[in-house]
Amino acid sequence: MNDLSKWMGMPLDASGHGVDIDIMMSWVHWLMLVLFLIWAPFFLYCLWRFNAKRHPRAIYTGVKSKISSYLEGGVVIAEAVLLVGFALPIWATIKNDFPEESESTIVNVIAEQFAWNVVYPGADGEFGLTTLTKPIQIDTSDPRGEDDVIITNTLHLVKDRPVIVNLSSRDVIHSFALPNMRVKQDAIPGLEIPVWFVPRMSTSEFRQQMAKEMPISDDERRRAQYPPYRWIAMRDYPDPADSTMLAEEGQRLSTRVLTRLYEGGITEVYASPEMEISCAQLCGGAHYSMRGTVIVHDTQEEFDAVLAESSF
Amino acid sequence: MAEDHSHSAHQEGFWRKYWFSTDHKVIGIQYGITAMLFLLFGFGLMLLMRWQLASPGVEIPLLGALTPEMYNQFGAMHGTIMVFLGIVPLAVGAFGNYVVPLQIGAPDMAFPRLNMASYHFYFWGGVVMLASFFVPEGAAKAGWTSYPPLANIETMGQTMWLWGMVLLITSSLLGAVNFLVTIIQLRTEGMTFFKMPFFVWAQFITAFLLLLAFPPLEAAGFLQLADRLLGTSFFMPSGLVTADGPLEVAGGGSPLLWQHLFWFLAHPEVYVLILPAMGIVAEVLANNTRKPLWGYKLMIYSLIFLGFFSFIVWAHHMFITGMGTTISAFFQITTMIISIPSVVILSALFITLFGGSIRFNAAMLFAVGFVPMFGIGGLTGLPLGLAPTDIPLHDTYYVIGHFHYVVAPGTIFALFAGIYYWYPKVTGRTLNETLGRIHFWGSMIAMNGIFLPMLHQGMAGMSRRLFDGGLTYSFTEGVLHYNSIMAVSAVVLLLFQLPFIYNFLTSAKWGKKVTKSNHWEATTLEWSAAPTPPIGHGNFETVPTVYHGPYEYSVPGHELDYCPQGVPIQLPGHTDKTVES
Repeated sequence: MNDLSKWMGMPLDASGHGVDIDIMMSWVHWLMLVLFLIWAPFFLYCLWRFNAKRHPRAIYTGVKSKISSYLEGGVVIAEAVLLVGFALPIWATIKNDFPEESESTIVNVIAEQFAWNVVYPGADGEFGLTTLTKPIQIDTSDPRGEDDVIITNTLHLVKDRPVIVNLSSRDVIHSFALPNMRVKQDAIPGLEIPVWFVPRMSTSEFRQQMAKEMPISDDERRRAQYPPYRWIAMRDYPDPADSTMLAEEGQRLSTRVLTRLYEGGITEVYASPEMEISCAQLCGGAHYSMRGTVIVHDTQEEFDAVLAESSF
Repeated sequence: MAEDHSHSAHQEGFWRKYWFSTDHKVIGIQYGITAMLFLLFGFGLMLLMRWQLASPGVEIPLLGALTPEMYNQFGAMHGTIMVFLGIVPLAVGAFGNYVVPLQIGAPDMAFPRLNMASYHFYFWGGVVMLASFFVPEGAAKAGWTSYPPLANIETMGQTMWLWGMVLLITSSLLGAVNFLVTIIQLRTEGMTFFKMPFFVWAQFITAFLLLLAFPPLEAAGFLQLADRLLGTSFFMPSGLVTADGPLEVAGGGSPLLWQHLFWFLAHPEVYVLILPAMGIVAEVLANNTRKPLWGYKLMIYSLIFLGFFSFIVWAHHMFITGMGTTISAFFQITTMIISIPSVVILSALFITLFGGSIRFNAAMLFAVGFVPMFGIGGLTGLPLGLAPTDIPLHDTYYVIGHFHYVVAPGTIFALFAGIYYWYPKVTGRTLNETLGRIHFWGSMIAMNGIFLPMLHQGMAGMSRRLFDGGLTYSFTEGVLHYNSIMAVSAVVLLLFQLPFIYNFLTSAKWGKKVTKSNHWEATTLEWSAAPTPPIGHGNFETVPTVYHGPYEYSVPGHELDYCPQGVPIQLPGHTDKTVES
């Protein structure tokens, strides 16, 4: 019963709170299905039975039964249960039950057209100032920022360690969507909005799971062999995501990159699925390509090593 | 008021008669034809977008390959045109104008000149919107919702969009006042509120919504214009940086203010799109089931309730903006509550079918098609109205699928039903039934071919407004193939509109003539008391008197299966000849 949302195509859930949302999603859709399945046969029966050919004179009084009132009562009760039993408590958890900062990974995500700037506070745990330039940079005059690290379009996390994202935007409204983490939050200029979640699945586990559930590498190979002419127009548009995506080993490649590789004679491309960040709010011309990735490391050491490497 | 109708038609010149007319029927036709042309244009934009989504980057004949900027323009203008220039003017401006005075036994709208002004504001609003495609860097491209700061920093097309909206809103306000006064003041003798056809009630409540919901958006439109043209910062916070460096704005404003003002209109606007459609469907269903509308009064109470509650649900469009628990709880509760009267009305329409003697003409097919399609649209609103399930679905194709089920096979089907139903009234000739059936079945299948896959794409997390149709992301992998199916369905949908367009254009001259004034053997005054085709100013040869409710079909003891509102009858269970049903 609880898996309906999965059958309906929701992406693999890799977060702590996602299961609650998925179960609720399943029950909402069960309600919809039940209502539809009650009404549809009645509807079709009426159309058949009361066709003027079969029923030349209509009945003035029509339905006298109270069934529809009971059904409406049932809808009221079902909606009340969904609201009080699921929606309000789940939302309260998501919005209010923030984890302890000392036990969490804390990052600032600053959205801009068309990239996700992920700022890590470094060893001192404090964020310094950032510049008003594009692309965003650490303001070197602020001592707190000396050990800060900015990584564009990649959010590094540690499995099972809660993460608090302080989300903001420097230009227009973006929406920070992590489908696998069941997270979506608008990034609104002028506001810094905190979001939290717990990644319960590391990237390597995610890839194993995806490999089981979806033969994605075959599909990637097929897409790598798409006729390049389809992409002529798109190549003319610079894609800021590309610079960070090109051929890191094991990383998923966008179709455009695959196509370029194909044009360069590399037709055997193996790509792995990635948990992704997508922009869900129209933010301008290249909105469609504002893609980032979420890398969930198995251990804190792995995470620290990546940040240390990225700091210079 | 509706005075000064002494000029007979032959004294009026062409411009006065057809362009600057004050006759509600001519104005209704003006609205209808203009709105249908806009619907066709908006549909054309959708075809171009679907082409791009199915085969990104492939050149479109005559137009070349789309750029992301063009795609965003088409997206923003498709939404704007379909809602503000297509559906609302057709549902309210055309059907409301033409039918409401006839159904309440009025000689015209209360303010005929205001009515004319309303159409002309609408027309020029549309012209400004269309012209915006030709200004430097094209039309608005910040979505039909025009969220700042993006909308504020967009090119000149956005300014045109705002001016266009100001004209359209002005048109709607003038129209709304006119409908309210007409319905309150110009009902004929005996036409009490609870003897009014459901369609009139729907227009009545819609007029309230338009009157009360549009002014905040008009104000917001002026504020955004000021931000763009006068250097104010109502919607612009401090510290903005774009690719060109820090923005030179005063700052201190809030982008969320726009969203509140926009959705304060745009949620009632949803009901502006739906209620007249429900009204049309109710008329057609009652007439073609040959029995009274089930739960007529209950439906009206639901309608009033819907109208009121539609003003306090708007922020369910904004759960993802960072809404806390208290406010979200309020809006989730109101959203769940508002779903109940919708369920009641829909149930009543379903139940009306039971025990009927159903005539499946083209109008009825579209009306019957509306009911389950609108049902899908309504049901898919549930997970979007509850904040936790809105997280994965917000701004995805699930939302697009949801509201298109409401307004395309929902409202647009109802509008088609209305066209097939009232075309003989307007022209004195009927539309071809066979072509109508082809139109219905083709549209039904093709529309589901477009909108059903959207729900699946949305569940997979595919965002809306993606120029490449979601190719950038791996989580869309399993649902990308739908883009081709949807493009083919869109073309099929176009093909099945051709019989309708042909039918619509040729039947006015060569269609079968109606043999009697009350062509559908209907009870309501526009058929049973007004001549078909209609006469000029004044509508009725003698002022009708109303004796009973609007849907006295198949009354026991009467040989005919319909009892016109203007003819006294004895209703079952009553001894008084003039009691209401």
